[in-house]
Amino acid sequence: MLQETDTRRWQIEKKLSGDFVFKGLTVVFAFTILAILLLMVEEMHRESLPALAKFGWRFVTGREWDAVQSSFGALPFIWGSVISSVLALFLATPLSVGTALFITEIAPQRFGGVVSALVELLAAIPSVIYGLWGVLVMAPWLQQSVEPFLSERLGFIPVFQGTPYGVSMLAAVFILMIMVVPIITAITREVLLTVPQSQKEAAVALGATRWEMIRMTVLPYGRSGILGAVILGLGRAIGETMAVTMVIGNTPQISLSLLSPAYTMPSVIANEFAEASSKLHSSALMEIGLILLVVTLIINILARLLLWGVSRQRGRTP
Amino acid sequence: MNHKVLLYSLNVHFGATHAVKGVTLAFPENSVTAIIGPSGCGKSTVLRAINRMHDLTPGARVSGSIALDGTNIYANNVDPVAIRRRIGMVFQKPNPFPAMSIYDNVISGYKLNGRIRRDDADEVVESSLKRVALWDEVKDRLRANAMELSGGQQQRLCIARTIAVKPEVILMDEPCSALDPIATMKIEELIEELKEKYTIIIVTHNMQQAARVSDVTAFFYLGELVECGDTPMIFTKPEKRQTEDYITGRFG
Ligand SMILES: Nc1ncnc2c1ncn2[C@@H]1O[C@H](COP(=O)(O)OP(=O)(O)O)[C@@H](O)[C@H]1O
Ligand SMILES: [Mg+2]
Repeated sequence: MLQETDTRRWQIEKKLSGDFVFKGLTVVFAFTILAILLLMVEEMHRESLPALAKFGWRFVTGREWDAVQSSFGALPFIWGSVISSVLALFLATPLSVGTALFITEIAPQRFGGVVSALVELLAAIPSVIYGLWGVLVMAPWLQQSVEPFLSERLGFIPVFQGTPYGVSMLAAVFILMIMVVPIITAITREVLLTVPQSQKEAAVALGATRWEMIRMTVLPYGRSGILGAVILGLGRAIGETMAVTMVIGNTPQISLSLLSPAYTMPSVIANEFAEASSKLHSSALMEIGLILLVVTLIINILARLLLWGVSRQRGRTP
Repeated sequence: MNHKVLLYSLNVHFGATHAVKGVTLAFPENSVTAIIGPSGCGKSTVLRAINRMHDLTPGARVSGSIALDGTNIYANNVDPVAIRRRIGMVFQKPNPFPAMSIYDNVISGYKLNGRIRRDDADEVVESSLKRVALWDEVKDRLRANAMELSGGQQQRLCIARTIAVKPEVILMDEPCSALDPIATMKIEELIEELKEKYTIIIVTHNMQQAARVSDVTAFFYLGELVECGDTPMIFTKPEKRQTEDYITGRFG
């Protein structure tokens, strides 16, 4: 009798300690990741000190990037990254939200499932493949048909002025759009799935058509989640290196025209790191990396917060 | 009395489940009909057939006919959206739109008619809220979020939202089951008043409630209509044994 109780207690204790070890391990892992991140930021900061000391704020306002003269201003890259990503998002958002609405609200269930699987497949294609397609297929097409048309017909707008090069800001915008649509669509779909049936029924019972139902309940209910999806897409677009490098033309200039080549922060790092001979040059690249890292972190945290709010809201509202 | 809604050999299937079996039943105009019966007997399914809510459920099949003022609402040339504007519905759990204010909730269905004038909207909101006896409680905070209201207030808001559309029939699926006794009493009083203008069909699992608010009661069991008659008759001298067993609490 006594022995029996003892073994049972021993078992309980053993289980508890197993749990304890497991929990401990996960905590250690979590903190390791955080520590690695902080170390990375610190390391990059240290490496970029020479550039920080030499240029200060002029680094982010300077327009000249010349390794020979050791003069480094990152504005063309910041400009290129911001414009290409924001425009890509601008085009991708309606497309993605529309696709997600089609999958969740309009297509028959099975067909929606197929579309959704295809979209997720697109997200899994390596970016170098997108880049290859972009430079071999899309850029020549842009150069021969789209860009001449734009500069002839709409050339009076500065945005569409200039010689068609093919590789250009426009090409980067398109390639980024194609790359972020799957991500935004997939996350938006998840968000839309959290809209309660009772909400949709409320609208339909009032005599709403399907589109009115979407406008009345689905979109307002999913608002912050969709915003989170878009911002996550922005994070992805800003960090995208390979495909953009292949199609944007890699020219450090600030041009209003979408038809001109441009340059982005990740692209310049990828292109110049191996050949950076002077300490200051590699330090300048490091500083660009640091800016990129911090911006991407902020964007992702913001997006996660919004999406976290959605999953927390689930089940609370009717 | 005139028959507003008439079910004729109504069958509803969900895949292989035969949820409603050959129901023929008339709902008199400007009165309250209660649908009672044990859980799972098909009460909600019957109700949701009346405003074509099953159109939204993949795999649901409705056969037979439902006439609204003599016109079959399942006929091919009938627009379900138009039907739902004439037959409103109030759900079990209050479901105001959480992203909208009280005002916007009330006007949300009415607005579907097209562009409306501002003072016109104000008037619809006020009269609808007065009808559900919510006006005095919310008139100073019409722009507040609807989720700030209590459960009972939310349910009355949902009724206001429904009557703002000016329907002829109001379907209610256990509208008080998520509410406390005082809120329940308010809704019951409201039903009493609403029947002057509307035909009301209410599903309830609460027999006292059916006895209190309804003029006619229909008892369902296992997807079939067992018995239908004037409420006092059903509760005092039911014809069928099953009905008697149910209302005396011997099962369900
Ligand atoms: N959407 C649905 N899909 C499949 N079966 C359903 C669905 N809705 C209801 N049913 C089935 O139909 C029957 C009647 O359900 P319901 O009308 O909700 O009952 P009640 O409202 O009387 O409790 C039940 O057996 C239920 O499982
Ligand atoms: Mg029910």
